Parts: sequence; C-alpha cells; structure tokens
Amino acid sequence: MKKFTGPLALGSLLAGVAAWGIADTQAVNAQGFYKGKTIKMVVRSAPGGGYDFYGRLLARHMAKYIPGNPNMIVINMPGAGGIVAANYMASRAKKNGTEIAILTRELALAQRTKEIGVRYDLEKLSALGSAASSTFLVVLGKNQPIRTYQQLKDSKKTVLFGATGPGSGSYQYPSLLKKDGFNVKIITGIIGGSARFLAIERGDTHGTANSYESTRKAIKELGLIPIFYNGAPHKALPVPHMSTLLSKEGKQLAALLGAPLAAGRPFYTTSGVPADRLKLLRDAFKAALHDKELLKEAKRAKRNVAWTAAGVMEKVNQEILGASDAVISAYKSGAKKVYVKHTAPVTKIKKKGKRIYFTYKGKEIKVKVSGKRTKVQVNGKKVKRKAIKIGMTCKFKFAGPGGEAKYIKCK
Amino acid sequence: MIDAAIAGLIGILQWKALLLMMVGIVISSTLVAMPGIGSKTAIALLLPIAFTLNQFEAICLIMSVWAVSNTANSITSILFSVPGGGGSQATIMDGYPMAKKGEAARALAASFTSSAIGGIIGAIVLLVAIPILRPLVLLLGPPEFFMLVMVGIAMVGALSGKAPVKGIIAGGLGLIISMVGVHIITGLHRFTFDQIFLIDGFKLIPVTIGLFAIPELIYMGVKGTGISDLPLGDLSKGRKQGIQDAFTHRWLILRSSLIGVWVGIIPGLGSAVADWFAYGSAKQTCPGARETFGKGDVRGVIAVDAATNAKEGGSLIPTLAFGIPGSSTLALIFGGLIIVGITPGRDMLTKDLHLTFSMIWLLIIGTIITSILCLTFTRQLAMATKLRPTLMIPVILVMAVIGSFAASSRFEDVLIMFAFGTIGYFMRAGGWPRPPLLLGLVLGPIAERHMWTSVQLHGVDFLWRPGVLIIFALLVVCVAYPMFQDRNSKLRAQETES
Amino acid sequence: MSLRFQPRSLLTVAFILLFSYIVVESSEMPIQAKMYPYTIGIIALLLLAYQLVREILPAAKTETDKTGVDIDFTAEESSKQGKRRALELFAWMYGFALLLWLIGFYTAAPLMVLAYMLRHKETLVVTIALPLGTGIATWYIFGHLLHLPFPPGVLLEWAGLV
Repeated sequence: MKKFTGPLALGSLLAGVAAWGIADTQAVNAQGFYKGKTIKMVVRSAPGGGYDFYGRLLARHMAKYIPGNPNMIVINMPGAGGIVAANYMASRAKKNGTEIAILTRELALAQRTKEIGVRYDLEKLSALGSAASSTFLVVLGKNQPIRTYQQLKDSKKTVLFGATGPGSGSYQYPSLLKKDGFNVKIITGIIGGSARFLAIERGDTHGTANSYESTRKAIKELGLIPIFYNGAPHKALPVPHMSTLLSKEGKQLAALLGAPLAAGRPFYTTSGVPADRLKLLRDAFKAALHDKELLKEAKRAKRNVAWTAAGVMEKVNQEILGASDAVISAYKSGAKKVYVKHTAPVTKIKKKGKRIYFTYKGKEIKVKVSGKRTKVQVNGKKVKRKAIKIGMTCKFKFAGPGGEAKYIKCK
Repeated sequence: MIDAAIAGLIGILQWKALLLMMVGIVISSTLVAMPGIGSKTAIALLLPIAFTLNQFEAICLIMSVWAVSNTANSITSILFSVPGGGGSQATIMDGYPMAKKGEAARALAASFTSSAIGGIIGAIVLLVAIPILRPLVLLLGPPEFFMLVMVGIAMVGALSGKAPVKGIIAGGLGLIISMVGVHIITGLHRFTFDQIFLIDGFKLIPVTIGLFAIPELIYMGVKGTGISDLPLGDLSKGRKQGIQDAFTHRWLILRSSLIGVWVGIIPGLGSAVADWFAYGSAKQTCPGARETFGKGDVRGVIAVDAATNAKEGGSLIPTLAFGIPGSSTLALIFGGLIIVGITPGRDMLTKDLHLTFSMIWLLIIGTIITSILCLTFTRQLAMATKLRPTLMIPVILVMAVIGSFAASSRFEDVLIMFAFGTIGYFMRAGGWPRPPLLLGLVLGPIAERHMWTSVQLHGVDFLWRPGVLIIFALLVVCVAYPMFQDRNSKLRAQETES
Repeated sequence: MSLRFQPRSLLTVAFILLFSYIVVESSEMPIQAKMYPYTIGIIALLLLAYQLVREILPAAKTETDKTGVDIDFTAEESSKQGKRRALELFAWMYGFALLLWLIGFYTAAPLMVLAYMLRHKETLVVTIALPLGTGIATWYIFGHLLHLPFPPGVLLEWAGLV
C-alpha cells in the first residue's frame, strides 16, 4: 500500500483541484460570468441618428437584466454603411459574450449581393433580437394632383423622385416602380431626407422614399402625402402595401427590400458564445425592451420599440441569403442601368435621326440614338442612323423611355 | 413676439438652467479644444442626462455645447497648428504664424472676441430673419449651390498667392482626393481599390492635421526652439491688444459674419467651408492683405472665427423654418431636444416661439460666457508656445494621432495623417501652397453633386437661371476686384512718382 | 542648352504621374462618374507640363520658393542639417506608427514620449513626468471617459494579452 500513497495523494489532490475547478467554472458559467465585467455595445454609425439611439438606449437599460450587473459602454464604429462594424464583430471582437453590436439591417442583403468590403459571414454572428421594426414610406408633395397609389401608376406625367444615389433606399423604391412600368424619373445627388423634402417643397422634385420615422415630421409640417409603404404596417398610415400594384417580379423585389425592415434595429453578438450565456443575453435583451423606463424614454424621443425574437431575425436572414439569383440581379440593377427590349414601328423621327419615336406600353416614347454607341441595323446590315425611316418595324434595346438605345434592328 | 422674447430669456435665466449652461460650456470647451473631439461627441455624452430635464434646462445644456464649440476649437489651431475641429482650419493660416512671432496671446484673444461678436451677429440675423425664413430657404436650389461652390473654388486663386499655377494644381489635387470613394450619383466606386477605408473616402481632419501640423512639427524640430522663438512679451498686453483688434476691425467681423450666416443657411456646406470663404474674402478685400496674410495678420484670425460662429445662427434658419436640421450636429441636438418634447418645425415659430427665443438668447449669452472663460486662460494657454520643442513634439504627435483617430475610429486615418504629413512637408519644400488642396477636398464632392443634380433637373440650361447668373457676377467681382485694386495702386504709385 | 534638374522637380514629376493615372483610370468610367476627374486631370496635366518646363529651363525666371501665402520653407530647413533633422523626425513619426500598430495606443504613446525624452537627454523629472502624464491623461480621457476604440495592437493580440 505504501507504494501508492504518493501517487494516491497526488491523484486526490489533482482530483480535488479539478473538481474545485469544474465547480468554479459552473459557478462562473452565465450567472457569475458577467460580474465585474464590461460589455461593449458597438454601434454601426456615428453618434446621433437612429442606430446610435437604439444602441445607447439598450446600453442604458440592458445591464440590469444581466446577473452581475455588468458595466455597458458604447463604442461607435462607423464606416462603409455598417460593413466595418459587422466585419469587426465577425473577426476581431472578443467571442465570449462581452461584445454585442447593433448592426445594419441590410446585413444579409449586403452579404448576398457580395457588396465590396464584406468580410463577415452571418454564420459567424449570433442574433440577439431586434429593437424595432421599420417602415419605408413613399410620399409625394402636396401640390401634386396625385393622391393615391393607383393614380401614381396611371400618371401620364413623369413623376420626379429625389434620391441620394444608387443603392440607397430612396433610390431602390422609385427604381422598382420604374422597372414595373411606372412613369417615374429619379433625380440623384440629393443627400438626406431633409434635403429631399426641401426639394419637394421647392418644386424641383415631386416625391421621395424615406423611412417613416424620419418622414413623420415632414408629413405634418409640409403636408406630404403618403402613397404606399413597405415593411411593417403602421396604424397611422392608411395606405396600401407596396406590393399591391406590382407585377410578380416587382412583388419579389419589394419583398426583398422589405425583409430587412422586419428586423429594423438588429442586435448581434459574436459566434462562439456558450449557449447559456447566449440565452442570458437574449433574455436580458427581451426584458430590456419591455422595461418601463426604456419604453418611457423611447416614447419621449418618439421612437418606436418592438421586440423581435432572435429566431425570427435568423429566419429573415436565411430568407434573404436564399433569395434567387433573378431577384438579386433585379435588386443590383437598382445600382446600374437595366435594359428593355421592345419591337414596334417607328412613328416619328426628329433631330436628323438622333431621336426615334415609337409606341411602348400604350404611350409614344422616344429613344436617343448615338452615332457612336447605338448599333443600328437594317435587314441585318450595319447602317447609319439616317437610314431609319418612319414606318419601319424595329426591335429596340434601350434603358427606358427617353434613354439611349443600345441597338435598333429594323426590317 | 416681444413677450415670447422675454419669456425665452426668463426661461433660461432660472438657476438650474444657468448652471447647466455653465456645465455644458465647460465640458464643451475642454473636450472640443482637444483635436478630433468635436461637439458631436460632447453632445452624445450629455444626451442621457437630458431625459431628466425640463425644456429650458435641456436647451441650456445641449445647445450650450454647440454654441461654444467653434470658439474653443481655435485654441490648438493657433498654438500648435493642429485643427481642433471642423471649423478651425483656416485659423491656422494666420493664427499659427502669430504664435510663432510670440503673439499667441493676441491671436487667442482676437479669436475669442471675434467668435463672440460673430456668434451674436449670427443670432441677430436669425432673429431678424424669422419672419422671412421660409422663402429665404426656398430661394436657393442645387443650381445656386453649385455656383456658390464655384465662387469658393475661385478663391483658390486668392489662396495661392504668388504661385497661382501651383495653387490651381494643388486645388485640383484636393478635388481629386475628394473623389475617392463611392460616387453618389452613379453608385460607382472610384479609386477605391476595393479597400474599405477608401470606400468612405479621405476624411478632412486627418488630412488637415497631416498637411499642416506635421510639417510644423518637423520645422520645430529642425529649428530647435519652441513654437515661438521670439520673446512672448507682456501676455496681458497681448491679450488686451487682441481684444482691441477685434473691435478695430468691426466691419471685417460684420462682413465675415454675414458670410458665415449665408454658409449656415445652405444646408450641407458646413463649418469647413465657412472659414475658408471668410478667409479668402478677407484676403481679397482687406487693404494690404495679399502681402500680409499667411504671415501672422490678425485680420486673418478675426475673419475666420467670426464667420464660423455666425454660421451657427445661420444653420438654425432651415432648422426652424422647416424642421430640416441645417447641419448634422443640429440633427443630433434636435434628436436630444425631441426627448423633452421640442420638435423643430413650424411650431417653433408659433406655439413654441419662446423656446426659439431661448435658443437665440443662449447663443448670445453662451458665446459671451465662453469667450470670457477662454480669455481668462489666454495667458496660460499662450505660454505653451514657449515650451521646448523636445517637450512639445512628442505631445503634439500624440495629439495628432488621437485627433486623426477620433474622427471616425479608424486606424487607417492615422496612417493617412502621416502620409499627408509627408506630402505636406514636400509641398512646403517645393513651394506648393497647401490651402488650395484643402479647399478642393472640402468643395469637390459638393460641387460635383450639385452640378449633376442641377443637370438632371434642368439640363445644361441650369446655368442661365437668374440666381446662378447673379452669383456668377459675384464670382467675377471676387476675382476681378484684387486685380482692380492692384491696377489702382500701381496707377497711384505712378502718379506720386511723377 | 543645359537643363536644370532640381530635387523639387521630383515632386512635380510625381504629380504628373499621379494625374496621368487618374486620367487613364477615369476614362473607363461612365460619363457622370468620369467628367470631373477626367477634366480636372487633363487641366492639371497641362498646368504641370508648363510648371515642369519652367522648373527645368535655366532661362526661365528663378522659381520662387516663397508662395506668399503659405508658411514657407526657411533657409534653415533647406540646409543639410535641416534635412537630416527632418529625416530623423520622419523616422520618429513612422516609428510611432509602427509602434501603434504593434502594441496599441495606450502603451505606444507613453513609450514613444519616454523614448523621445531619453533621446534628447531631458532631465529626470521630465523624463518620468511627461510620459506618465501622457499615459494617464490619454487613458483616462480617451479610454475611460470616451471609450475611443483604439485597436489593441497586433503583438499584444497575438500574445493573447488582450
């Protein structure tokens, strides 16, 4: 027996330490983990603005629902429309549940369309839930004779929409309408909802698309007329959903644009967080969003609060990631020109062949013919644009009414 | 209206509101004086407190930060040639040379005093404009904005001094640099090489710090003496001189303030433009300025600081008229004010007129208090220019890094700052003027965007609109006036000779 | 006629290369994106050509270093000693940048200040006080109060210390 006492003692000592270690880890698990720790709340944009508000709102109220009452600090990490913050959370952030973030709602979309700079993968992020759902609204100025969605669709006059630029929400919505045949023209370079409202007020443009939260004031102040919405319905908006007057492809694209709005203010943490800690965070998140103080503050600041579960968020993301190639290319072409093909007889010619008129969708439209860029063929033979005569039936490929023709093939 | 004015004044003179005003002023002055930390950060820090306040108190706390930020951010510009925030770059041009000549106290005092007066003028213009706010804001559209920016670009000539060719090229370089990033009109990525930090483009603050502060640092190291190698002289006298200077040049302050207010009314132009416009215009119009500006002419400091403070009053105009914040900082402020039930818009001119007045009063009172506060410490601040370079260089280097990083929390900005530091040094060595580069960087995107929007709206004919033509006439006058002055003085010189 | 090559013409040439690249790169872009860079590039190249010619030809008036508006280069700085000191300062700058990348801001800043004090043989009090002060001030104001998210430093990350 004597031979074994040494190793036995050592063994029991080790076992004791191990047991104590495991017991300690158990205690440290979830419940005790956050005591004395600091949780970083990363915000995807600069101070001020919607995402920052919700990030700070949660940072103020979530800690008390986490056992151990950790300290929560806010860190702004703007850049590339939220991609910088997302990349950070997917790679460099600590993966133990001490770093959470409010990221851009277009996260899944940016990944699916392979936006430049995307280095994150939604697989590497764990959803916590969303703090609000968003509604996107299309409004027109009060001086327009158009008051309803149907009137917009039937409008003979070209309706001008002010937008920031390709890729932005204010551009995507009128672009979708245009693709579906609405008589719409987009004026780019007007940055910010405020500037766009001012443009409507000035008479430069007729309407714009913007988030409901940012538009609510302008509706009251400037008498803007809401026409339709996308995303979450709002009881103060008696307007139809965007998809009601769209074609099948249009409906798909509207659904794609609207999907991120359901989880309008999404919160994530990193991958690799132990399951019980993740559950703790999610529960704290949910509790915080039902906290009386938080709701009071949000109400004072006129921001809506609506808790969406992590599971719902993940489902939405999966849907977006699984969107068909056709829809995605339709979405992406909201960022560049899309061409229409149409065959019709030529009705008018002006400016020595530089403008060709024909009937398209019941209206007479014109296309521009460039000497250099437009390929013109008659009976299969390459000719100059002068060769086109009224009455010839031609196949046109062009970028919409008034745009430049890529080719004109006549017989 | 008078009773609203009185009610507004009484509201902010409550002791708790006054106390919060002081708190806001002190916090803002200290934070904003540090490079890279702008008023936005200070406001974001104070917003949570707003939840517990009443309306007047919230206005006092939050808006005091905003009202004073343009005063305090000149401190590091004058002392170290490190810009303290968006609106204080042009201050470096004459403020820093003054510091080098041992006139730091005078420069600081002149800066603080003209800031106060400019802020007051801005508030007064706002007051006067209240009845005509709406048509005023609607008057200008993208075509007019574009031509206004062209006036700014024409000032490149003014800022190029004796090397106009190099100045124009430097301006072109600034314009090109401003185009790196996503093109707003087409969505195209220009010159980004698929790097994320380039997608957002070059930010103004790191470029400015690099272009101006770093070469100065090197100069200090080469020279071996502190920022000022001349004896400081009597600091109290210098301070008094600076205050007097501001009052001596009151017409300059008035002119510059009006320029500042105009820039404020046009949403999107921002502080960085106000200071260069005022500087360029002062250079064009002040007698003898073409020779002395850039070498420590106090008028260069006065014009700039009056304009940047007056701009604040101006930017409230579209905010009050339409509820459309005149700047991103104002958007942040009103985000905070909404919490206490203050919504910008038509109500501010009718139901809540007294609150509007309290904001105007706050602008006036807050700016005065800040200036007095800063003036009190002017002597101590000025002494920093006598410190040994061995102490200053590493500290300024650290400040430069913080300033560049804090703007957007990107490490790449620090590298950009160092890169431009190198470029700035070689530009100095080769006699290439640097201010036109900054001007190009600031005005490039604005010019391009407004041009294309105008073309989309009106076709190329936008150039013939009456507003555009009037502004173009202004541009011609701006460019021709100094040449006219030159010819006149030459003629006069000939006359005296004969 | 002998041409005069000055070192400062290197900068002019560098600008020519830069603007040439801009012109070439933007020629591929659609008209709306292309117009500004392309036009500015062409104008700049023309002016640069003129500038270069003026710098090279000995017949042209001596190129003034003085711009009259910007803070001008002094005789001190153009001297050999001036250039050497400038080079040393550049070394400090880029060294600091490297240090920042390696060990993060809150460690690199006081360290750099300390190194600078040692290099210039400052008094003991200052050599301790300034780096310490810098470290504490930056950590407290920018780290603790403002939570500026400085990257922690590659080496420290690799060593698992952060």
